[in-house]
Amino acid sequence: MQSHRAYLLALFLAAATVVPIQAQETIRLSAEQKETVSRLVETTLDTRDNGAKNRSVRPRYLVDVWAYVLPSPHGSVQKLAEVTHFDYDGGVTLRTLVDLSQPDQPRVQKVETFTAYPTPLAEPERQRALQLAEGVAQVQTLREQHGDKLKVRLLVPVVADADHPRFGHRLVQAYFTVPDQPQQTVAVDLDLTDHKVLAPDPQ
Amino acid sequence: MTWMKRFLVSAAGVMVVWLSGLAGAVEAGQTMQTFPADQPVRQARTSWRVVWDITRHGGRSEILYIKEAYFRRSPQEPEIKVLGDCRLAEIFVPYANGTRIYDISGHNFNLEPLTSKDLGPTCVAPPLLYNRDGAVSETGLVAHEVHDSHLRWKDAHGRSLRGQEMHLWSVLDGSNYRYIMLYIFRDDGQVSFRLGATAHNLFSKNDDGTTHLHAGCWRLNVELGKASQNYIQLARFLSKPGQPPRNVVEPFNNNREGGMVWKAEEFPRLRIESRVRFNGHNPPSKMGYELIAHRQGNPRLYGPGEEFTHRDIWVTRQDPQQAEIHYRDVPKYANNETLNGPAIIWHQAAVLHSPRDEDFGRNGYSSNEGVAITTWAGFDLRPRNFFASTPLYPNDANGGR
Repeated sequence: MQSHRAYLLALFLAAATVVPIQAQETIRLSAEQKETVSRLVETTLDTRDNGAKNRSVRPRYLVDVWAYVLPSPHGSVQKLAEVTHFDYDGGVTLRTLVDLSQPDQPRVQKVETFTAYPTPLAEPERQRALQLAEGVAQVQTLREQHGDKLKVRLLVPVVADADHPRFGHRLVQAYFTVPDQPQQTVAVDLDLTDHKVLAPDPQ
Repeated sequence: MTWMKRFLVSAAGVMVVWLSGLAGAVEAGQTMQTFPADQPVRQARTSWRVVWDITRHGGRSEILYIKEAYFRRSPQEPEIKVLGDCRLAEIFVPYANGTRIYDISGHNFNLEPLTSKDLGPTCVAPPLLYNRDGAVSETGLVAHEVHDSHLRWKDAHGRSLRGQEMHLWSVLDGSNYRYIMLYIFRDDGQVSFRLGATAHNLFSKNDDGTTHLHAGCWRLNVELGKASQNYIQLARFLSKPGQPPRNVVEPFNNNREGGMVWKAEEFPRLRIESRVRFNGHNPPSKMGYELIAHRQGNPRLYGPGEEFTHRDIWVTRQDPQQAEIHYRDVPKYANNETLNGPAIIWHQAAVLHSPRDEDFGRNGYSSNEGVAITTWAGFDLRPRNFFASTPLYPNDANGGR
């Protein structure tokens, strides 16, 4: 019993040792900080576009802001943020790296553009996908039968074939399930770029 | 048995500590597992202390990852840090019809709550569930099990030992799919990484276009005490007509960042060896671990940005300027710089899923009425000269040091 206690004590002391940061650690930004960083990036991207793009037709959505600290070999830490946008003009993902080391002066380090890149939906896109999917007859029937019990998950596939007609399109599969009734599942395929239901056939 | 009783019974081998508040932003669970797990702690021969956590990888889907893992080769010596941050960095699912799903970086999926129904029976020790904060709980996101792992060894004198292993695992809710992220810590120091793919197919048909891969893409920091003191080699077993086969060990990619193709006929092993830590062998050997691949095949995709699939193992240095965490961007990270400090190992292992009638329901074509049976991808990190003698063998008077 004594050795058991000694073991538990040793374990507690080991646990109390501070775990050093050895890889990137996510940090939470306040809403205000996020807003500041997002605004900075939007301005940078607008300047890059030079006002040449019609944003009412081909919008650019802020997807997320991920901030982290990065240790340097010399013990100091860098604070950085990755800001991701999806741009319907060109159907590309934009990733902007922002240096947050000086809190009052965030600085854009670089902007990268990717095609067919994994990118979650921005909130306005999510809302649009749900709106489109809820208009499908099969989903409406399920909704009438099960109301709020209906669970919906959104899958965001990417088309990797540059010759495919939906390459660069924002595609979504809305997956509606009823708890414990797998046969009731309805999957709706959407193309947000064309604002269209692909399947089940809306006709 | 109530969860409290279960906890008390297993307390001899296991303790979970909530680190929140002790280390700033660090919130993690900590699991100590002594072996044999079914014996009192004072009879422990080896042990693992694993610090794990749940995070959103790159701010996206949740993952269970290993923050640090320490192994004690014998009760008489201090533990050795074997692993730093090791994680599943991507689940890549390419379909023959051109569709691609990136379950980690392309979504904000969550880990799915587990209940006792998901756990195996009490095997070597009772199973446990931990909540997000690392506390034992009736339902939770992280499962802890200790299983028998068959004969660890059997000698020519009628003696044998059954091995034991600790499993830490979670399940990702990936819309129609469920992914099991499993880390296995064995009593002999080996660590295994597995990704299990199961649940409902994306398409309710089994034509060629629906054939797909589930590729687990891991990002690994092997520490062996201190990662900056390690170097990485490639060991291959080469044979040519007219020549006896030989084992060739060379610096990985001439000690520069890069990737390698895993050639089955060469039995390639990535060897991580310490420059400064030696075991107690006479003469002493440098302590190391080897990455042993388990592969159905090598996935190769040729769409834009899919160059990351063209190599099976990549090694990069830790970049102090930017978090290099996106598996799809690894070819950019691997820009031929000299590997002279802590290195990151990137490894992908994939399983091919050609849908079959067993995946579907009674009508034979409803993906929602049937499930795909779990298929596993993964690899092992196996000690090499980490011990001075056979671990857990009766005559290892020095505890295998």
